[in-house]
Amino acid sequence: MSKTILVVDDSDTVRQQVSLALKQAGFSIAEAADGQEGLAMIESNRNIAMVVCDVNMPRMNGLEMVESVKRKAENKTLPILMLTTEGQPSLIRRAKEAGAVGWIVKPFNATQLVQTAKHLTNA
Amino acid sequence: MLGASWFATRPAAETAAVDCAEVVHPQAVAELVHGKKRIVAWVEDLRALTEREILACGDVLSRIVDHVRALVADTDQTVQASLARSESLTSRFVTEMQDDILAQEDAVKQVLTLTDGIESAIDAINSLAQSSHMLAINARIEAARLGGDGRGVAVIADQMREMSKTVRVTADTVRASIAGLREGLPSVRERATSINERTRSFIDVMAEHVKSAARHSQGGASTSRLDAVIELSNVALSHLQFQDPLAQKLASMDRDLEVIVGRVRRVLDGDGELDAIEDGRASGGVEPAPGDVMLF
Repeated sequence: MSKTILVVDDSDTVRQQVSLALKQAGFSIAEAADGQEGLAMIESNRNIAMVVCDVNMPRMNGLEMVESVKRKAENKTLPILMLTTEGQPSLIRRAKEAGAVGWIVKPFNATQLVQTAKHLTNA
Repeated sequence: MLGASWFATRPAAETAAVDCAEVVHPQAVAELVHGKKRIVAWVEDLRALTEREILACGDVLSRIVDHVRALVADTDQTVQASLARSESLTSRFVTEMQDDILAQEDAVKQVLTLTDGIESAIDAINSLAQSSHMLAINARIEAARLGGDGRGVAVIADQMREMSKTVRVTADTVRASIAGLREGLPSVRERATSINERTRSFIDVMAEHVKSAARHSQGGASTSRLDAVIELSNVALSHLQFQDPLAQKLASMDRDLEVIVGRVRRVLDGDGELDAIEDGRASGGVEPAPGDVMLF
């Protein structure tokens, strides 16, 4: 069975792009349009193997989402990869401290994203 | 706003004029010059971002079209008709895309033109600084004659009222220019969205035509062309990601414009020295380049 990756981004275009690249590599995709929706999906779907998450989003931003997710013991090993236009060291540090596993600055390279996803999910 | 009441609270015309000349105006000019530089830099960034990605996308699309043309050679008549349609679709797309790009450039130029209002405000404040310098000199002379009939001081008071009017008009000019800038930003974004959607739809249709051609044609050459088209479509789509950083840049510009209006208003209201302007970026550490994968 293919592994499921949750893509959390408020931009339809980016969600479609990420999903397309990962689907072509054999992953199943779940999508959420903001941090709150992403959080709810992680809570309700235990099969999620990895999360790709934007930073700047309405309602709940990506960093807040990572902090909420990682507060729960059962999510400690869930890899969360940040995919964002931001590159500020302070934000990257905050993501790392919150428990994210990596940071990619948009625009992303589809091949590199797939390689990273395979590495992080042991696919 | 630096109005008549502001001057009235000062103990003497001399003090007020010196304050205007030496504190308020130079800082207001510095704020405006800095603000204008930032706006021009943002707009340039936006222009470069959209132009670079759209041109790169166009380049990839033209390679897709080359593959389609090559496929015509080894396909049957049914598919040739389909490919002919795709070629006509391509011509129409290229024309529409050119229109979109020109409209996007116009939208960016309009935004840039609005910074002229800020430029004229800078000139007005500069000229005001010179007037207030003259007033300071006059005030010193009249102050030396105080105890006379006081007419000289009255003249200075009139000149100061005129100055306060000019400051009010200048501040309104800045506010109007910046309000215009903020109103112009959504059109830049709308144009980018239009370019993006049109290109996506074009890629989808072309990919369908090529798949159909590959199904009907013979040999491995067509299959490898199909693979190339799929790969190129992915590359073209990745260039279309410019819309997301564009949206975020526009949102950040909008926030910063509000900050600039606030800072200029505070200076013109005579709230004294402001902190050094921050560029919003945290210092320390190296920022990763776009596309870099940084694993912790």
